[in-house]
Amino acid sequence: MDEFLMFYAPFIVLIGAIILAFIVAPMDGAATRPPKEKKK
Amino acid sequence: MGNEESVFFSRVLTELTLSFHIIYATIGVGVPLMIMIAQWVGIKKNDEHYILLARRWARGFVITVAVGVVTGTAIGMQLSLLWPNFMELAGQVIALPLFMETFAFFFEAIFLGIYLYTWDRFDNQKKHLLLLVPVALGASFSAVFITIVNAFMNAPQGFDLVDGELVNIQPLVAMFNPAMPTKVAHVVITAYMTSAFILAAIAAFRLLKGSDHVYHKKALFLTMKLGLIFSIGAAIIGDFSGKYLAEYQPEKLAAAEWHFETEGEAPLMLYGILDGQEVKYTITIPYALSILAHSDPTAEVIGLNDFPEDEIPPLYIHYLFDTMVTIGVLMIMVSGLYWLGRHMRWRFIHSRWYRWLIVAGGPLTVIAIEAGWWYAEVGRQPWILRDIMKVPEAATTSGHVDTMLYLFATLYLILGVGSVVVLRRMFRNNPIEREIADREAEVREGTRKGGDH
Repeated sequence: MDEFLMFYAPFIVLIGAIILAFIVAPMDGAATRPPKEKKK
Repeated sequence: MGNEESVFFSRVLTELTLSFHIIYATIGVGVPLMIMIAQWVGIKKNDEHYILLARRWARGFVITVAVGVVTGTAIGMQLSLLWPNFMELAGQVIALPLFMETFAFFFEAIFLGIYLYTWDRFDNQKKHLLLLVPVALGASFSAVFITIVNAFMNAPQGFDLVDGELVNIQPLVAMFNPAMPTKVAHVVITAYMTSAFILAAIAAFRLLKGSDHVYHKKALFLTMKLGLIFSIGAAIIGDFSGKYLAEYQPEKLAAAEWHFETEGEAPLMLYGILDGQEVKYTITIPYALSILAHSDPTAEVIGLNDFPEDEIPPLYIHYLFDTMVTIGVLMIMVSGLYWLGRHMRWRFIHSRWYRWLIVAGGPLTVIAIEAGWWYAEVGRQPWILRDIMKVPEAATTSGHVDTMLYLFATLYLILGVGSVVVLRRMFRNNPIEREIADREAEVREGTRKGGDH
């Protein structure tokens, strides 16, 4: 198990993070949404 | 100058060069991916703001590349001049990734030139984006190859040493050493993380300074999202690094954790001070060191007392490790809360103090990178090539290293100040509001000319 974590998993995490970044980047609906109004 | 003095000045000069270079190298590796993602989003959503993000980031990126080239050349030169005995030995085994790093850089530089000079030259923007693929790949693979050399210093293999002579040299075996996967992946992903948080800091700063343009809001949301993804990835790979250290460099892990006695159920020590071998004022997390080292809360972790005293790294690396981890965790929290707050429409993420926290995240992640590299390098001491060559054996005996130190320190000061001044002027003289207005005028002009035909 530790061998997998030391030798293969680092590259899987790195490549996975890059792919996830491309998937998540266009989802920008929340970027310009105004904050909630203050309760009166 | 005695040999001890030349070793001392060689160390200081190498530390100074690496500490300065790593700032520009990190930006140089990370920013091309950020540019690529921004341009890709711009094309996909047909949103001019993201295209402009890519354009402006690319302009700033060129300045950092120029400085990185100078400092990178300095490192190459200093490796041979300051550490000739190391290069004589290691160069025979590990020259291949050193050459490949140069090749990757040329690959990046050639396509970067073409990319910059062909904005607006393609009818199909996707073709222009394709030019960025070799730039981003070249930048990342430069980091991969040079980190392989550093990994080799920590876990040398791929040769036999018989009577002081190197035989049976296998460069590929040397490249794929046990330290390589965790080191390479951690260096690359933290470069992406740091670049994202530096760009987020710039966007947050513009919002704080009164510009309420949607361009900055999109830039901030994008970079904080990317920062969150890459910082979580960095933390996971950091955990894998702990397992590598426990197996192959246990003295480095034990020194970073002030772990003196070999024992199972080992706790993790955060912060604190050291009084002899007594650890005071720490936050102790039970079983955490055993889990970090072997994924098992009861596993035995080797302590410092099992090593000869002259082969134990300086124990101050504990503070460097803590600095790196604390900033990493802080940035996961700051970016995670920002991302969640955007979706939940929380008010506090728009407050001035939170934006200042994001601004602070830029320099803080650079400090984390510095602390991480110092930890990596000091943690390998006293070895330059682990178990084979100690640092003093590798150094030059030249009597002029102190002069070189002063000259290079002056050069770095000029380059550092110069690059900051140029970048500030570049963006201050061309604010986004003006650039957007200019672009819209260009489009109107183009449409009118098109209509005349």
